[in-house]
Amino acid sequence: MKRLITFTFSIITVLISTFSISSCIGEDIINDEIAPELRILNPIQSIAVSETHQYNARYFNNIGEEEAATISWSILDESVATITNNGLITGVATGETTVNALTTSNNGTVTEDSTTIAVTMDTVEQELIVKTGTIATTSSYTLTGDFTIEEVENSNNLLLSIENNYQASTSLPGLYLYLTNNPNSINGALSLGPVSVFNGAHTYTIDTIGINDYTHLLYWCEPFGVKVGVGTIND
Amino acid sequence: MNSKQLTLLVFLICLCSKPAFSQWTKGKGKGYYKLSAWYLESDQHYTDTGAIDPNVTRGQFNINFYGEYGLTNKLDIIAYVPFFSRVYQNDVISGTTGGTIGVGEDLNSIGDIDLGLNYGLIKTDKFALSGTLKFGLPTGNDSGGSDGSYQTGDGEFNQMLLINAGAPFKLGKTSLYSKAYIGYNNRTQDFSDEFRTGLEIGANFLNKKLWLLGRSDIVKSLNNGSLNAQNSQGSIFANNIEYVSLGAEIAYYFTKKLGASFNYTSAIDGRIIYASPSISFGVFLDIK
Repeated sequence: MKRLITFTFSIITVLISTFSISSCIGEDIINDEIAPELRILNPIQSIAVSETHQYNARYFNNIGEEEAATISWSILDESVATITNNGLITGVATGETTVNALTTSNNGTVTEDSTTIAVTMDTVEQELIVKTGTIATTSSYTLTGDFTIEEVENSNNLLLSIENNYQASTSLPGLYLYLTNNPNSINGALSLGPVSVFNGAHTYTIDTIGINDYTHLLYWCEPFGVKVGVGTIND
Repeated sequence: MNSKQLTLLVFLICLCSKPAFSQWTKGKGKGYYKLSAWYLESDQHYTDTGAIDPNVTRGQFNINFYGEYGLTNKLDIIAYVPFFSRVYQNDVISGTTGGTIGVGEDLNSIGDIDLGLNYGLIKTDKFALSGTLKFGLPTGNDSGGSDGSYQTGDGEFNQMLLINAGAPFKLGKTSLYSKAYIGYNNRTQDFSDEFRTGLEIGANFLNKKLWLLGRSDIVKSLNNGSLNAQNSQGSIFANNIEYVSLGAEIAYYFTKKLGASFNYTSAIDGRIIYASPSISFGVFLDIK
């Protein structure tokens, strides 16, 4: 009996040791590379003669993270408007022109963005920007639907409206929604929290962000650590 | 070989063979006790459509005790005690920068314990029939880790009723047996009930020192439970699990009582379950 007990304890020790070693936390490497992007975050449709507007632009690196960059500003037609090195534009005469932002990375890669602007005699109230998109599954789970994301008047908030045709599988475990600049990763993404609606129209109010701050809706399965659906935010 | 041919082969084996022995209820005072380690690691899973999707590598293993003891000649008590269960998930690393995107976690606890009774209904030289009532106790952790998805148990008390039938036979000089079961698993806490069935064929060699077993199990959800991702946020593999698994086991008796076994089982079809094989290794004591 004593030998049996000794044998049993020996086996338990060996089993725990063996499997403890083989079941250590390892590393999974994912491909999260995307094309770097320079993005003008606050374009406007028009500006009055002699009025100014301060442009802001940000550089997002090859994983979609914001990175400090030196940005050069230029304007196509300086008889319509002028712009400083810091992105401050001034209306000169009525007409339309193009504003260009440019940055050069350490390895010499040039990244740029541009926006058109009209110069008017009188101040024109800016229209609230509305963007749209379609959610598409990137997995075998059902996940589909259209959406709009729009600026909310007199606030710094956005309203994300998921449309009636939205449908998500209720078998999706731990489903979260993010706004992201990298559709392959939640690194640097803004979490809108766990998904609680799996069918039909619903909305999210997102505080204090700009409508150009993110490029994608990303549906992410938290326990599995994988994306299950994505929607590009289109202009 | 397709499934119809396989079924026919199994049927013919059973029909053409001679009975040699049957192994059902243990008999009063006799027992079978096994200490095992079970391990599964997977980076993919069957979705609700049956397709296979990727996931961050997750692993589960446990060290468990399984025992059958004959209370009477017809009644056995059965216990499955996973006294050490571990769940873990790998870190997620950016392939571009090498930075950590998701930090892995782990959880160690006791798992869900099964307790049950097996009652011999018919036992002859040619055929055996028994009924099993098993209770699944929610002793594991059903909401561990930062997101509640690190689970060593399902958090529900289930009751499973099985009818087991078996027949020993000979194929040439080789002694074999076939067993089949059919059962119903009544689950609580809004989990769907399950239909379960399975088949096992075993053969012994080297004068009953070496056993080779093949096994298939089928679990089919009745989809009558309301638990889903919508009302159990964070849970992983929460409900309506289904699978068809195939497994093989080799067991060797070092002495008349003491032996070791190795098992390899994999789901060949499924819903909401890992799509990778599990392995287990155990030592057993067979008091006949």
